[in-house]
Amino acid sequence: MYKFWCVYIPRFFLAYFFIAIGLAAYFYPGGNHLDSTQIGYDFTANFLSELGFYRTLSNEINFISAFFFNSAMYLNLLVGFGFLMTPKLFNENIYSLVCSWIGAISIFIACIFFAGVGLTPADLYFPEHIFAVQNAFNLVILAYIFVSLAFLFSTSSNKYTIGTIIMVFVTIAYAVYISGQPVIDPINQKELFYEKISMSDLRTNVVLQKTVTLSMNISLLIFSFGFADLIKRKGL
Amino acid sequence: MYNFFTVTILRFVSIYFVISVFIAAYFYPGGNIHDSLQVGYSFTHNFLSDLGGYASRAGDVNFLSAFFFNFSMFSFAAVGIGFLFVPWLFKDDKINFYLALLGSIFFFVGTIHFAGVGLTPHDLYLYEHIYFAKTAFRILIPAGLFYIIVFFRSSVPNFYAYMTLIFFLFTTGYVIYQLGNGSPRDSIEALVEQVSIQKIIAFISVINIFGLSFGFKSRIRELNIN
Repeated sequence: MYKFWCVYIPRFFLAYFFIAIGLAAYFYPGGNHLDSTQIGYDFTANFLSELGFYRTLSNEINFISAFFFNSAMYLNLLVGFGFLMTPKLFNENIYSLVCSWIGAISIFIACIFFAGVGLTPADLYFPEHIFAVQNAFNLVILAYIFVSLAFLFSTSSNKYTIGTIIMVFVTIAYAVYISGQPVIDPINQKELFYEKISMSDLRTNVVLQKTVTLSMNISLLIFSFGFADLIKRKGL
Repeated sequence: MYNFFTVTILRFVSIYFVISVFIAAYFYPGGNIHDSLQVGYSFTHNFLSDLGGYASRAGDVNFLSAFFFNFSMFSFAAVGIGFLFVPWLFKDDKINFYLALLGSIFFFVGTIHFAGVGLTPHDLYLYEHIYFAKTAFRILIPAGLFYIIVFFRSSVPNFYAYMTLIFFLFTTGYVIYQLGNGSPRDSIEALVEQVSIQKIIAFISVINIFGLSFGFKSRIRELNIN
């Protein structure tokens, strides 16, 4: 059971996530926040969330793309449940156990917010979408730091914390960058968005978001190997 | 591994489907093919497919309802994959193994068609939607038939053979009914009749998939594998 929830579920999620993003990008009709005539999906000009829009920024139906992206986000719920099993792997000392519990509960809540991202397309529920995204990212960073601490305090190798160290640096860079950016509803405040955000701002923001997401997923994959190692050593 | 694919997945998807239908019904804004003013979902006046529409029959945004329904239909692909593991539970008898393999291939193709229903909302891709919905049930007929024979020939309790027989008879009856029924647009009575029959057959199909997981579980116990 531990192997299933702590190893297979995160890996299944990652496989589904990347395949779903690929399919969603393939089926995305077009348009970005500054250019509604763009054809198809551009990984440097479209946020991931745009894949989940009900209608694209070129005002086209976006059913298939939205289905794959939103379902991938929704499957975060499974990852959240899986992490609730992980404290059992860190019961060798109190520091490791406490850190793993804080990490597990934070990830569980973060994953509910990530599922919320998939259930609130930004063009239909913009405030709820932003609320879910911000809380998910904030909590997952906190959670990954605590899970890394759990690894550091355990007898397990410290190599499983490398992904988190990279992720924390990338996320801090992203947080510093977006702290100077206004939050503008791109659908209902289109004119203001055009006025305040340049194409290069948009591309920087988009690329940083993708980098953070990628580092988060790499971190999750590395954790799954760490969990597999602990399960093997504990004979669970 | 066998327990996961032939038992856990079948139970999880069946339960998830039923819960999703209720959540989707809760979020459905309203409207049926005769009355766009209907408020909310009616289990006697709305097809299951209405839940998966890009827009509701009243023309409202139907995102949440569609997401829950379509993803639950898409999840049936996992059931199909699960069925591909079942023949190995009957490998002690060559004939049973090959019959189960044939049944599983039909189940796999049928459930992939159910997944297709979730990917083709009726108001965006009507032709494909109807094709997937009708073909799925037609493919389940031989699937059920092969498994009835397998269950009668194996040491699995005959209860599961009779359960699959009921599923087979109802599915066959539904397919024959579909060949001769008129359009639900003809009258409200025709709509209610077709909607009700569709719900019954969907319920029987889900119960059968859920129930089969117990038959497979008994076989796993008997073979002492995991």
